[in-house]
Amino acid sequence: MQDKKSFDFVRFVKSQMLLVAGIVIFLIFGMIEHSFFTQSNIINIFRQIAVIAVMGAGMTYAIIGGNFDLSVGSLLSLCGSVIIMSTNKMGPVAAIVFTLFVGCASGVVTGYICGYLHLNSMVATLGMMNVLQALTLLYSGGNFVSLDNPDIWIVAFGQGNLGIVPISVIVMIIFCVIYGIILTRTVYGHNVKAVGTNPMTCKYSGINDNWVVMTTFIMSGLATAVAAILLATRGGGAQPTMGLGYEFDVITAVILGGADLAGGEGSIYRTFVGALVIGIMKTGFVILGMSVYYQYIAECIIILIAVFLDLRAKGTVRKS
Amino acid sequence: MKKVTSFLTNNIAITILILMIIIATILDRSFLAPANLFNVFNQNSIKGIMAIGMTFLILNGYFDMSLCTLVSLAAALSCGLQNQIGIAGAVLVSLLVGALVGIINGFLVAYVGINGFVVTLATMLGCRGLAYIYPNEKSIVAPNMSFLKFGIGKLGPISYISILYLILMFIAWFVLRFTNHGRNTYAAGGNAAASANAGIDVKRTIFINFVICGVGSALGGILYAASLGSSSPALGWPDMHMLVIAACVLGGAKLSGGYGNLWFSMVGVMILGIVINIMSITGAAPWVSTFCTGAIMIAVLIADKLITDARNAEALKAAEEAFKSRS
Repeated sequence: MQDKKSFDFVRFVKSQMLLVAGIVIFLIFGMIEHSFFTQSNIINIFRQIAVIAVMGAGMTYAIIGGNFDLSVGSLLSLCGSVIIMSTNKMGPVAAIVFTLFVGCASGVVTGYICGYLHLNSMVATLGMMNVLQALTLLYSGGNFVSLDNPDIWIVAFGQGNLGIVPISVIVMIIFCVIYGIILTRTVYGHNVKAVGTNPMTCKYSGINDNWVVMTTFIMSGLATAVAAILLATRGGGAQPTMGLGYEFDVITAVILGGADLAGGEGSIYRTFVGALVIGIMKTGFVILGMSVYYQYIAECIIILIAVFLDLRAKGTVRKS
Repeated sequence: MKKVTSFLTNNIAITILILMIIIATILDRSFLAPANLFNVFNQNSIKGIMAIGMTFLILNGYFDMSLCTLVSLAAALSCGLQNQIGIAGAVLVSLLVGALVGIINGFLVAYVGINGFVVTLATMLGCRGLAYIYPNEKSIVAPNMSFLKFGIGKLGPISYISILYLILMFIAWFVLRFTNHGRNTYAAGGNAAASANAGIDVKRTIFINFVICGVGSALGGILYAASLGSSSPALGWPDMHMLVIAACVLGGAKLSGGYGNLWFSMVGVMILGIVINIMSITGAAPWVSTFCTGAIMIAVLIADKLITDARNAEALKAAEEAFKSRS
């Protein structure tokens, strides 16, 4: 165990390489364009990453449990349409409950397929992705849906501010903290990590590994539903293709956060930092007036460098 | 009869294909018209060409996420470069870019040892950036008409692209069946450590397969551009690689590697194609075909799982009985 009293600065910095990299990128952008340092821009960055960070918190569970969840992009579209249309029909409170229920229900189905039937999560969630996309088209009729009353209080989730801090950022922080506490401070969280490391051992030590894998997908579905509420209320409407490709942004954030794709390792905090780095780059290239798509090339390089450094630190890079 | 059932359960791809054809015929009699069947084949031959490369990689136990954006990058290059260096040059450069991406993927996975999913996800993002930046986020119309003529041209009922697909299928089948590389691919996918101990250069096998998949994706992109006469930066995003991987899995390939069949991957591509075709014939709403694609994928995986489990249980029972009768 690490001695908690002596604070090792070098070790701390080494463990926070990604955050340091994010700050360096932030400073570089700021030096080129001074408006990058303004308060409104910093708040804007956090507002932008709210969706990815919340979904990333859920995805972290799925990946720690040893599975991918590729269905989150389509689930985001579905929940986006659900929250808008059900707000119109039955009011905000019922709509929020219903949306969270839809997210959990999708998680139960995906989780049952991957946890109890032990199908390959990559292809099974790909199938779910198609099914959920179809349900979105069916539910919304393939149309853009918007709130009947654009001043209803639910839009505060996406647009409102508490002081200078956007409510979506507050929701994101509370959500990530809760997910982080569950992962690090509860028996369930330890079970998730244990199952991700070695499901067989867990089974023989009395942990219901099927159930744990299923719950990781429910956590992911719930997080996606919350993210959908934040995203849909920001614009007051939802496209049926709203979540297209989001799963890759989310997985990128989790990978940048250093989670082990084989399962068993990862943390909500580091996923959050991964999302933050993506957010900084996204905003940075826009403010510099460059094509947003340079961000993808930057992401590609950063992922490869981050993973390479991570591997070298663990001493598992093959000598060749 | 028992032979038939065991054939159908062993080759679940064929079973599904037969089921799909029966269902499609019930839904609309005109499905079985020869013109329509050729149509299905022609429409899906590009996906099939990409599935060839992906099959090599899946047999080796990896898969390539960068396919979807490499498609749009190659399409943009093959259209955009025609004015400067001619069709042949543009196609060659696109294929080389595909090979280069494959080399990067293969080097990082095989020789550096980074997780294949992470590497190909990263190159997917990189290619996406390039695919948008190179044509300034616009679509490019191919300036030379003979490019489009090849893309939509037909020899009788079969398009040129389908003929190319069949030729490539035979070459790929030959490579997998009769060359060292093909046998090494199966061996390395089945058990990498054992193959390495047996003297197979597993790293080189992985590397070559990534390059094959990269070139295959680039070729797919070029052919898409040829059949449309233009390229679009959004081509293939976000799920082209997923459809190709799904086709291989429908064809019975296992993502864990070492198990799969090139011709069944072709069957998998056609199964997905039939779903889309029959939906467009019957004029069903767009969500129906998406739903069916997803549902079929999950159903096939579950069926495969149940069959494997039942077979394992049977084998276990037989072994127990043999043990009892001996003692």
